[in-house]
Amino acid sequence: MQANSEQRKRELVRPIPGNWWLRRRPYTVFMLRELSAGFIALYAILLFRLMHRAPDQVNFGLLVDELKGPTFIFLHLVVLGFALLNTITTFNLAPRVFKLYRGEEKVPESLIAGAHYAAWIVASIVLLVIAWRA
Amino acid sequence: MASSTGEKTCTLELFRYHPDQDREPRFQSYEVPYRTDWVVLDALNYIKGELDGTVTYRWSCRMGVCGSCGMMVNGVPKLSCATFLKDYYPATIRVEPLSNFPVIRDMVVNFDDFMHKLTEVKAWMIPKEPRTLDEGAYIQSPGELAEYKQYTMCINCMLCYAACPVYGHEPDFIGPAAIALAQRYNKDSRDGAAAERSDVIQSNEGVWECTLVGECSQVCPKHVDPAGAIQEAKLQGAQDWWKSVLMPWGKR
Repeated sequence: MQANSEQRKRELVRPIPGNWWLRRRPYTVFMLRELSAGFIALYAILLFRLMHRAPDQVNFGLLVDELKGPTFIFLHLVVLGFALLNTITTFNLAPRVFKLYRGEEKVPESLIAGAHYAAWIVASIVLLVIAWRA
Repeated sequence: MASSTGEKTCTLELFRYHPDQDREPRFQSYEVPYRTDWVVLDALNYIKGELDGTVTYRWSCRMGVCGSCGMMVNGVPKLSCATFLKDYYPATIRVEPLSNFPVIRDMVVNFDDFMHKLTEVKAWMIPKEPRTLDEGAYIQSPGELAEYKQYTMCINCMLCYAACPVYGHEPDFIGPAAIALAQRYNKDSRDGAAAERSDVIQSNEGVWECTLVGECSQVCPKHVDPAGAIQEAKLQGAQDWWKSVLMPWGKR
């Protein structure tokens, strides 16, 4: 039934409060996931700075010394926390995105998410080995 | 909690808004008998029948099929016929109309916007080619049925819209259920109108508004997974876009 304009005027439109994302945990996690992109972008800028200075050993050494300070260690921990949050929440949502079928049977969601975690662990080990040898 | 007769009771705090009397909404508390087999809808029916006949809400089947009795129960969209008092007892249960929709009265919301969106996405079968009775039934394999069967389970209860913060902030967003129902026909081997629907689904108000909060799928009482339908449509849209760029001579 279509509401007429007179009825529309009498309807109550409830404004969304600014703290809507604090009212339920899933919304808070979602907003933190969105915020994490900002921190990861900041870290990418830092990495670009390192790469930019890499050819100049003196300047590079100065920047590396600066990164060993407590402020940057704290920043690294914060970025790591957001990176983990982003990764875990994204992997948990992966079964929403990838719908795979084995013949006519749907591949279980746990297997899709699990495959992402497995690939993450393998990639992390490979990177650690490369870093260790460098 | 117990009444004067010693019977266990449960408190419901109902959202009240009567357009002829109230300028602002208010909450009104009611004590109802506590029974372990009662759902929120039973409590509402008790209130309406025994305590206050002016309380207004929609309901019909009482068995999670019709999709009429969706409400916010303690801030979460739920079918009130499938939400047991025992899961909240002894805490007070706050019942409100579905979020993100205009309120007509008490728990009754106006869902014209959703109905309009269903027609926008053409959520009905548009066959590939006309088929006469003499040509027999459409043949479909179990695999082809599995492609879309999940989406047929949608009961239009709109809990997904109430859970979607994107729809709350951007009411033009086509929204979870309408997109899932469009996918129900897009994925059906008998349908031939996916390209027509894509004009709406792939528009700015379509799937690309979705930021994958994922709550639409969490609250869906029928496990339709509208968030999955939206991501599936995004993937299809991206594939179609690449095809149109790499093979502009190809058919859409």
